[in-house]
Amino acid sequence: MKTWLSRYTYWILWLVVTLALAGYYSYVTFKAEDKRPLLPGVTTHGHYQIEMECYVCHNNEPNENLFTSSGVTNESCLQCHGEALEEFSDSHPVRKFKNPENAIFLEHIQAMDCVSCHSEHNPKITEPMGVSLPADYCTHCHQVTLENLESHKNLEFNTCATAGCHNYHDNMALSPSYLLKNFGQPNVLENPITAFHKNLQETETKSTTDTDKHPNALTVADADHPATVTLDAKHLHDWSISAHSREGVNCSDCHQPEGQAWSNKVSQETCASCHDREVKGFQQGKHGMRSLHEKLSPMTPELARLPMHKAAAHKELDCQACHDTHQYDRHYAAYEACVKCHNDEHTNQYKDSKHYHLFQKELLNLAPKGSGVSCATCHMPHVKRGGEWIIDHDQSNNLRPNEKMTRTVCTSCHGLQFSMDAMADPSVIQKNFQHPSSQKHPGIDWAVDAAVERGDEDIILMKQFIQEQFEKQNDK
Amino acid sequence: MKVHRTYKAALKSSTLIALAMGITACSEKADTSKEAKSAGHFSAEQVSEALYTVLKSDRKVYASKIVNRLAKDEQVIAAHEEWLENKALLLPAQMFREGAEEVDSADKPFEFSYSLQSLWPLNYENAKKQTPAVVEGLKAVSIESSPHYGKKWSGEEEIAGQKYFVGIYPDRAVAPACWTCHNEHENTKDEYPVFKKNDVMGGIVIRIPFSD
Repeated sequence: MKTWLSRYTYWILWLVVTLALAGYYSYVTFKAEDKRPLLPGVTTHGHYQIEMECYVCHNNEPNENLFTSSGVTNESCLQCHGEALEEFSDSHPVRKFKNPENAIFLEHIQAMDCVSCHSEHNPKITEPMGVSLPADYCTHCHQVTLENLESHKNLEFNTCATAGCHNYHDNMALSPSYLLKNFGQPNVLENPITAFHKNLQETETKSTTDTDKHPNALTVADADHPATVTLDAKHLHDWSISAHSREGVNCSDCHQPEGQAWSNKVSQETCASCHDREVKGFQQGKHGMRSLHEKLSPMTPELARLPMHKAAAHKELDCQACHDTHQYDRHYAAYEACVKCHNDEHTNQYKDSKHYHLFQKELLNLAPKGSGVSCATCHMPHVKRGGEWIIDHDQSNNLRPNEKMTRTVCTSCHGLQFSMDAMADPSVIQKNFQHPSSQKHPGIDWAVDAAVERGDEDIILMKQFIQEQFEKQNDK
Repeated sequence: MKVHRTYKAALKSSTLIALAMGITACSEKADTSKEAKSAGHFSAEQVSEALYTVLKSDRKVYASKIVNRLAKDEQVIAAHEEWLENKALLLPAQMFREGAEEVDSADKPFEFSYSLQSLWPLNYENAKKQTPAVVEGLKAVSIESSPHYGKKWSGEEEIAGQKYFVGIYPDRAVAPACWTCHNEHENTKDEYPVFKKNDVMGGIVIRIPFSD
């Protein structure tokens, strides 16, 4: 017996380990709720929330070989990211590389497949924006440009997309024309209010009375809740002074949609029946992306990778998480709702910033509308889409990369140079813009020098004017 | 009468099938012989020339009746390289490239692609894309001393294991917007020629893959 055991010790050990592993993975696969042990590696920050819905990305064709293909096609990616790529006119779409003459470039970088540059479950090689290539990937195609641009001659290729200038897909953030158009601006612009409020100032007609603006306005007496439903008097009052009652949205519209039985809880779908673009934005961002997948529970701060308050760990994110049930409270939706969950340095420094004080002044009617800066002013800004202003509820949209925020938000109130300096300085962002950056982003100077070189008279005159102003100030 | 109608229908069907076969044949080796044409087939070279006629015409209309008229003569809107940023018209070369990229993505009865190339490119990366065949063709159609100057050039080449018919056709300066923009552009190098009306500024490169 002893001889038999000693002869087969390793075989028995192997069998036990194999059976144990098989048992463990069978349990995880078929029984356990947490299936993360099946993941091949840590998922990126953009996808980890939906990582257990494997088939969202790995949607193989029926006959595809699972052992030779990941099953992640461009279509898999575009079903979520396609619209955003279209919106800002993707500067490197797949179609750009289809012409056979691009073969010389494709030898180095297979730009026709999303996963060539964005491979998942590879945390060790994944850079910001989910890029899994070495940061100098631009070199394969754009070396000639770099060699011929005087301002760029001494730059390294690994800085193109990491210094706050260029972005592979959305290269509009800091185009040369944009830099020149905004050359020479002061740190704080005249009338520093948001673009949306500037537009309001221009279009608002003073002759229109409140009644003319809201012909369907409802009062408490008009509330159509069933007699059997007992309502909190505060709810009723809050509703009666809300935008909903002003626009004629009654109790039944939200609590009994399409003749359904009364429900105290209002679903996301019901909100979407009027606020479809806002709900769509919410679902495209990190707050609501899980709500697109039936099997996934709503997002909670507990699931987040950013630091969150423990007290809010189990708060489920839906429309009501930020929008008070009946009363539309800007202070709550645009600030309090955020800080109840978020507990990182940038958020916690906000209360000591000039932006916060401006926000308070605006709420107290001591400053013009749109002059305050809340969390939402920057992270859920008013944007114009399809000719209409909407609030972009995809809170990470202008952070991919963060210099996108410069155009849509910062430059409503600040000069471009001041904004670029701040957005390129991580310490300034971390302190929530309590102090300006001490470093100067060279982008505008480069664009100006090139314009002067080619004899652009407007820019030459502007440069002279700024120089004179600077000298006068120094003399004083 | 009935028989005659049947005969006409059969003839029509044959013509359609022949045309379809002809288009399919475009992916076969270039054959410019008269026999191929009379048999209802179209060679790669013929298809290439047909495409060139369309591309050249559209390009001429956009450059002269859109860009030159609106941006230069009437000055109601600018044409700008950064057209999205400046709410401006696309430059003619950009319009051409956007169209080519749309074609590259479209479902087509047979594969083909086209692009605009020049020995004097303003977009320097374009020069990197030029294969030896394209360089030879561009020299032939756009250097004044060449016997092919202003005429078509055709050849064959292999890219990434695929053989192609290559047709290169002259791209001429048809409107002042073309040559002034090129002559004054910041990327224009000292050695580039100063273009004037009707000069060949580059070539339209059309590629059709051989099926074998």
